[in-house]
Amino acid sequence: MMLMLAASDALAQARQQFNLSTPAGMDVPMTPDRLLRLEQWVNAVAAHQPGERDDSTSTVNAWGLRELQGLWIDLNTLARVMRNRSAGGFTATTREGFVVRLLYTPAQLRAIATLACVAGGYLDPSGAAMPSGHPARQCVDSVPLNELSTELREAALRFGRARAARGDDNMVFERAALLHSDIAMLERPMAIPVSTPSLPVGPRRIQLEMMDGNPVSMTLAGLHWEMAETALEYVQPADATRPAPSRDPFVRQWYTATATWMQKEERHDAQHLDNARRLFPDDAVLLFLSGCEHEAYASPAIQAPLQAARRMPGSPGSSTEEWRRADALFRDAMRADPDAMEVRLHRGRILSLLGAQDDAVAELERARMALSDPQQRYYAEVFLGRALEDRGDFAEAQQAYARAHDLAPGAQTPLLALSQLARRRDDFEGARSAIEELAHLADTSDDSDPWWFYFVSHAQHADALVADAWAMVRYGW
Amino acid sequence: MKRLSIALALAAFMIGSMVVAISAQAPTFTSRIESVRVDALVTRNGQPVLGLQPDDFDVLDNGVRQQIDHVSFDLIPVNLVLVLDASESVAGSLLDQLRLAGRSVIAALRGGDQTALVTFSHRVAQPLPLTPDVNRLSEVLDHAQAGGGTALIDAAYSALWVAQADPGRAVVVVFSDGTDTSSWLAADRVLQAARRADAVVYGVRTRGSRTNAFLSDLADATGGRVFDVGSTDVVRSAFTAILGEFRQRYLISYTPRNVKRAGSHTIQVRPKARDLKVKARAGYLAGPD
Repeated sequence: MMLMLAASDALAQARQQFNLSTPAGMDVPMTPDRLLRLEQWVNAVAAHQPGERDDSTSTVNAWGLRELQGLWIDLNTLARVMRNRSAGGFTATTREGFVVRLLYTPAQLRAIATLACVAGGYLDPSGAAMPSGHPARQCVDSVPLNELSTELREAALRFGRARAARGDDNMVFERAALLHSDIAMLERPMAIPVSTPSLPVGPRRIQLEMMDGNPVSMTLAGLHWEMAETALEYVQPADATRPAPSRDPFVRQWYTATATWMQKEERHDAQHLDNARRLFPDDAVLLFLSGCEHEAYASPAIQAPLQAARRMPGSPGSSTEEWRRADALFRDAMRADPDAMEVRLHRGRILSLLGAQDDAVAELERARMALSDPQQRYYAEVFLGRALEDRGDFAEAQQAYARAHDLAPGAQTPLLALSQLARRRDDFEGARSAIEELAHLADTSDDSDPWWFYFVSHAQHADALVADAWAMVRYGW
Repeated sequence: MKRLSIALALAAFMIGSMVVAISAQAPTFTSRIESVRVDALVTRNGQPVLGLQPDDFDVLDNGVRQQIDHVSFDLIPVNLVLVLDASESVAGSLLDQLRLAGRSVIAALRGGDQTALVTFSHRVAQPLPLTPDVNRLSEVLDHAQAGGGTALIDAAYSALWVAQADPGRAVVVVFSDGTDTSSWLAADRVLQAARRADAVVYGVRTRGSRTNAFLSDLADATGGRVFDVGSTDVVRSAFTAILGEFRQRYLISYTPRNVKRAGSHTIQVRPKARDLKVKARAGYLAGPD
């Protein structure tokens, strides 16, 4: 299980007005290796086969912290130049709030402008017919296609075809998101020590790896998710004059698919969902996933190893704090989609844990009557049983646990619950017989009790979501 | 299972037991006898004190002095329930150490003793119910596999029932190297169950799990204690030390008088000699919640 702790201000920096003048401060000059890496990156984005490990993913995955931070800087610069060839005076804000100047020599800027023409698809020969001042005309007039490397020429033609077909220049950003997502999902991440020196700006995320309630390691990770998020911030509809990723269906689908995948794989990242909700504040699915994220944060599996890391920025709060956050998000999800019974199921559990048993019973009764999936009904029954028990309605609680037992006869949880309830009612024989039945359960498979995978149960369709999202871009290539 | 009334010293803890007298002419009658058993460790300067008699103790139930019916020492066979963590973090050398610890415990058991095994990952398993064939423990341990989460609380609850499957003198030894991540039952409810159960719980935990208060609370609730081990090599000695300490406890029985039956009861076991200390359960619960 992974947990991202320290939030990065990378996206905040991406939204900075890069051409603001600033007082003298730290300067971050471009270096020759960064320019070479930016070109490699453009080629990797163009050549990558979405959904697969290939040369592109292995090449970019091999880059370390400073390399990726430098790429992040130059991705932002490339995007700005792509949309405004006369852009200059680039700055960024450090994690501590200082403004730094991003310095480029004229030759470096010309090289970046060339790459921007390639990435934007503006080297298509049709650009020659555009009026002067049009980006395509400017690119065609200033960048001889036959002087580019073979790889860049191929990339230019591909991005050009895409722009002609789509009517916008967003392909590079969407394919970049796929490349970095695939690296995050498919490649073995580099283990970067937290103490690794870094640039003053750029992504820097701390990951806590946990196993069975114990902290295993703390490293820098998740950088590729930030790269993908940053790239998508530049998605601009054809009729817009500024980036507007919230208007793009692929961006919404990307966040939904990747957030679901992260929860299925137990790679928790609240920042990712915070970004998603910033763009799509009324999306019921993203609100539900956000609620599930905080519900997971409250679980013992995450709370226990956090005791040493609790004071780090971005780390989860106490169980109660996380339950309250989850409840608020589930409420918002229900407002966005009142018929989403799975949301009521999760909210009912949270309300019970917060001690609001009457409200919990109401939500869980409604959910259990409406849900058709046996596994979800099982959850509704065991959570309802606990809420009823905590309210003192022992007879009704026993019925709920018994219904859960009928839905999953091989599951331990209903038998433990029935035993405990019987004990509380001074029914010694009832308590003992339930434990004896537990001891003789024949099904020893790891899926015999759905309670064991409750926190990932809602995300089992993640792979299909990812495939659908990737297909939105792949077939435009 | 029918609970039988035997000698008072072996009477079930706070369980109504049936006394049936049958003769050719007289009618059958029943009466409820409830006795309380308290396992108490008495020490002087940290060393167990042996040879004490009923007159050496005062017992108070809810502050009311009680008449001690019986004090026994090391006479009653032990029902030892081992509860072993079999989660992912135990795989490898630690599991080997647990197997060795189990075998050392077998060697320390005597005729009449019984043993049982409960293992837990996210799943609670009872591969060995209480049995006088103590050598089977070794066979079962050899087949134990490690993997998955940690349902310590669920396992402790199950083990309390295993311990009560027989009216012997029950000690539950729980080993865990981690924190509960998977249980369904709430810790406070299991502690309530422990206060009603007739078993002393000892815990053995590794350094990494010392922040886990549940084992400490469970041991305190039942009059046991927790051994914190710094390395896995000493798990074996901790297990045998627990069994040795348990055999040096006194079993004090009394029938509560002049106190309400149902509800929470505090127990105070005081040795009359001032230089002695007692470790025993602090109380018990009677009746339904």
